[in-house]
Amino acid sequence: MTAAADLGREPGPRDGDDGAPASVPGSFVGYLARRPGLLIAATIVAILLAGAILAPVLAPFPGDAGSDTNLLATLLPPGGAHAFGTDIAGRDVWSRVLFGIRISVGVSLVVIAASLLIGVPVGLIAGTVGGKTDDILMRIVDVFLAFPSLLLALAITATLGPSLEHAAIAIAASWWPWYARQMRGEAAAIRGRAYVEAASLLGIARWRVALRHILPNSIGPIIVQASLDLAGVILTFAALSFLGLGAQDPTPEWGLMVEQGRTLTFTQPWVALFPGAAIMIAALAFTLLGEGLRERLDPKGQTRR
Amino acid sequence: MSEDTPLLSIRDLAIEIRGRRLVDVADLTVARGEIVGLVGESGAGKSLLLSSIIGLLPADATVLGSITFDGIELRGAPDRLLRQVRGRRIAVVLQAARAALTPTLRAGAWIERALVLHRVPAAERRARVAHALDAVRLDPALMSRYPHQLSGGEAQRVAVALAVALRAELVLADEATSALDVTVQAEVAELFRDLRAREGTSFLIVSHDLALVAGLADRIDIIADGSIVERGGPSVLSDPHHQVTHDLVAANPTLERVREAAL
Repeated sequence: MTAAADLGREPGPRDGDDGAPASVPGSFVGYLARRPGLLIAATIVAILLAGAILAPVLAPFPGDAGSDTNLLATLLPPGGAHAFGTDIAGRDVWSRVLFGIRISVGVSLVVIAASLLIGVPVGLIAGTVGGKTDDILMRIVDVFLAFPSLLLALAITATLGPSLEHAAIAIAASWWPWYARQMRGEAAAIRGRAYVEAASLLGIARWRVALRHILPNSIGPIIVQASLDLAGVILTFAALSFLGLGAQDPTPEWGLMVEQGRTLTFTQPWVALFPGAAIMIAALAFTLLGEGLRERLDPKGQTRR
Repeated sequence: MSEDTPLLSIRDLAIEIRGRRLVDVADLTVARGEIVGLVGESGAGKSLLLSSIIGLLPADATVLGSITFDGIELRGAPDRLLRQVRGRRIAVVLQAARAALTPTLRAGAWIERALVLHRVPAAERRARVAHALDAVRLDPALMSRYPHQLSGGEAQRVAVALAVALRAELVLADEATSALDVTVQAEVAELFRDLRAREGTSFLIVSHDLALVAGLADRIDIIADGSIVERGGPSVLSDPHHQVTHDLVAANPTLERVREAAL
């Protein structure tokens, strides 16, 4: 390098024209500290994840999350060996709420992942290829979007029969079109960018341009949306189970547990109260986390619902 | 190919989009090691002509005639063949230097990936990149930067460095300096001249910047309404015969004319 010196610029801070955030882990900790809401949400999510993983260790009566029943200890109030009391079958509510994380949050994560796995490729193809392919794919998406998501989920579970798996399929079926539509918009907006053209000019095949150059530059807002949607899926999932169309007894699903305590609200409120609170806390935590992520990853703050 | 056969040869090229003939060029050649300027107003068909060379025209465009590169007919060539030529043998340098780099890739990774794509052996890559960076006088430290951390001139050098690393024989520069500061424009022009001398690279420079083209090109073709209306050495700009050339020259303020106007 002979002539580098006269061209080289000081590697100090650059004129921040578009100010992309530096991805330093340390700065993220500082960022969290300045946003107590996000910090609380992240803590709750961390506790939920730990609870899900450690449920067999933490639950005093792991069997109660399964098919165990204890008809000599039904509807015991909170206290003693049963911190959250027992339900109508004598099962420890605390153990069931704890194992419920695996069901309610776990299945919701799977549903979101499945929706992304279908929606993102469909949207990417539609947005990148354009033309007739775009038209056909988006009309299919429109058909799915025309139904209110809970109604579509109801129709699917009613047809397939009520079960945890069918409820998950039903929610994913009503959720992926949103990602397809959003991804299509992002991809179509980026398709005309100079770097996409430059990639084609380099002899890169079209599918590879889509995967390597369009996708990484458009996925951010969709990840944000997915994290916000997690709360919605948890609620939808609980609603389906509450209506008897989702998880079936003895699965420790929160919505189902609320339903089982529904008639006992005024006499033995703990049966419905604790799983209900769990739904609320989980949904709130994921919403706050999603909002925080959006502030960081997608400052434009686009929402769709 | 013998030495006197042009590297790029365009014959009777016609490009039509929805029945409208937008480009109609009887012949245009670029010899090995030659710098040819293609000058015209916006909408004259310059960019369309460039796109047709590498086979990246809009889907509804019809192309007639012949485009040969080193004896290979590129018009209507299968996509697989065109992809091997794009970047690898014919490089394109765009106007928006920084915007032409993928924002999620560091400059070094961008170059590296293109070398992998064009099957440059791993053992050769490092040496080629080092040589290319030296050729475009770019600090290797900049390779770890993202596009938004580069200046426009640096980004343009990255793009040209890739062309050098891939040993492209022909560089198509599409308004490659128009978005840059005047001083940086001069640097890029110098870079092109230098590359021709060091690597024997040929250039087809498309621009409306007459000063740049006059100072750089061996031959200049003036294009208007899709056809070449005048051609010659750099002197065509100082002694224009065709009205279009005359208008182009008149529309470009020179220091002398600015001084005249001020007096």
